[in-house]
Amino acid sequence: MLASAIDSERPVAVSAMFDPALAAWYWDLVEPLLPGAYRLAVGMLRSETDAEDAVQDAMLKAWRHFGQFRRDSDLRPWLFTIVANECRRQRRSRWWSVVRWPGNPEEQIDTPTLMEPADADLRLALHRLPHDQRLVLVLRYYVDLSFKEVAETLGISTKAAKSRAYRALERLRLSPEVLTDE
Amino acid sequence: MNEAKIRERLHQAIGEANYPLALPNRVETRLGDPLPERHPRAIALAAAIIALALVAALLGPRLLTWHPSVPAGSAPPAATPLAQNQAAFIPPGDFWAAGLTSASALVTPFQLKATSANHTLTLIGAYADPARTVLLFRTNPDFRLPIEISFSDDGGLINASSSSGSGLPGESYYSLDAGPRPGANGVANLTVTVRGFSPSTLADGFQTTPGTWTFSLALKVQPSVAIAAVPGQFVLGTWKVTTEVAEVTPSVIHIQAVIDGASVGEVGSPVTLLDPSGTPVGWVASSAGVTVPKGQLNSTNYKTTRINDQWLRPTAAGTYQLRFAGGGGAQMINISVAAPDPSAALPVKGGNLLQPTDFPESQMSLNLQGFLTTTITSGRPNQCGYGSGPSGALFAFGTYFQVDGVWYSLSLYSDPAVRQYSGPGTYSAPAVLLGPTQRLYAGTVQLTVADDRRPDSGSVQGTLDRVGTTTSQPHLSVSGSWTCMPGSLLGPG
Repeated sequence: MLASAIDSERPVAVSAMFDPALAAWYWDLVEPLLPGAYRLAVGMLRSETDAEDAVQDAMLKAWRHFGQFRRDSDLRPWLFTIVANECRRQRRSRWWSVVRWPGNPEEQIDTPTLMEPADADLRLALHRLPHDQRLVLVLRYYVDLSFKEVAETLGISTKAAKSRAYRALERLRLSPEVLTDE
Repeated sequence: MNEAKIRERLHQAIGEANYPLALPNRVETRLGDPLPERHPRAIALAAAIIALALVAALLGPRLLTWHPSVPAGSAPPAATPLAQNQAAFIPPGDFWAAGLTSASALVTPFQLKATSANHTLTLIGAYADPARTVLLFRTNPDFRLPIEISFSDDGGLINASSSSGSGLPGESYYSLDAGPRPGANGVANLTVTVRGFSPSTLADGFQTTPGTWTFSLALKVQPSVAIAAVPGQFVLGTWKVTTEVAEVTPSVIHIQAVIDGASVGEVGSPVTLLDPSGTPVGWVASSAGVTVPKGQLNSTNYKTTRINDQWLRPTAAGTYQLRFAGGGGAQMINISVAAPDPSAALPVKGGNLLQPTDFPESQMSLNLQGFLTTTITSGRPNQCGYGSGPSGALFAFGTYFQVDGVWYSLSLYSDPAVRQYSGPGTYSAPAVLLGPTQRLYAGTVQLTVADDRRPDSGSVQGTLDRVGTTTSQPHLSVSGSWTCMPGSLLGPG
């Protein structure tokens, strides 16, 4: 099921986009989060080029809605949600008019050649997971968020995040012993 | 395997992310662009907006007559006869997002509004069957639904897992993984309470803002068909499985079972649905929980777990396979699933997958210079016409064309953020050239609409910039004239 998504394409007033003070504030908040956002995108996508595109697009989307941001809030979960949505957008076909082309680019897994076979298999299996299951694993084990932060990013309860991770790991045959809150 | 080991395995599998040091500069540069690049999805939304505008124009007045706004908390509207034209008022993208495409005609449209904390939440549609209850909302201003929404019917609170997500911008669905309890007439009286909202944009930060929206509605619960092939009880290795529900509803295949011998943490994913080719079908809902309130858990009953699994109902009839695995055992059960009732789904324009040749041919004279240097004299327009939506009025034109046996797509629309479409004239238009698998060029061009009455015609002039590094040419210039005929596949008709 699709997780709560922040995917607005609505335009904003151009004047709001050129307030220097607002821009500086936004940049101060966002720049430290870029490495984590990029890491998330790399985990979700198959190439670093795609990951960079996704992060750039996500930062633009966030900026379009930054005008009235409340200063006492935590930016990271929301920003990561946008990044995750951008990654999904890049992977899925356009629903409005999809053309069948010879070969399906979705199936062209970009597997690094120097990878151990077991790692390559795991990477392949990870990319075959549904978006939501892949996302929970990437957030938890690749971006190293706590389950509380994972839950905030996914817009679900901590318990549901753990359950989703548990099931995803089962599908990867990485049976977990216990999932901690740390 | 402990979490440290899992983390190590996944790090090895994904590989290290080499953070590009130039990324901050690139982002900063793009933030300074006065007209941020649009995505194909924006154009898709524009196409959707056009389609919606037409539907709204044709059906809106009638719909508003059929379903006047009702203040929250007032007497619920009676369940209405379901007509395809009514549900057509709900965007198809919302049905898709909520997993209701195969049951879209069974969605009851509403226009129930509630306002709290200066935010208006409108219930625009609802669907229920024994496995799930799905509500479609429109929010103004745009905000996210909270994680928990309270559902109750004549039998009291309905306690189940849930999920939510977005359809079109400003629209959300909320899906409860349980159906309401209907009365003898098949209709359930639902009370839905939304408490607190999460902002959809950065505008309101992340903290939930207080507010309460309450809706009362009468909703028909669509019938399901039991899957007789699933035994009521069977042994699975060291586990005992008691099937509580095995059914096919208009929207999902649903299995609910109690497993004796496994705790919630041990049960994993014991049920998998395989399609006739043996490929696993993705879950739409999957949860596991204890069978008694937490306060009553003891050393015995914590090993009893109730699972609830749902898969979107396949569009093709066939023999599917339910695979139960766990407790050291496995059992395969073949189930015969009928194709969904065609009348349960609203017609989808052209089906789900369209090929360029599905679109009617149209004459044009478009000159391309750069990556492609050619004159296109014939194309197959896939967008054509004007309409209006939340972003304002716009005109969109898009066409497939073939060069040396390869299909490309050029799409552009007048940007309502720059100037609302108000009739023939010249407009600034975001444009994108798509190759077989990806965007190749994007930019802003001048779109001139000469005539917007069938057949539509006009011209285009401008230069697009390369996207990524897929071609050697940094620019592609586009100029020339086009014609298109609005039709059933192109949005406005």
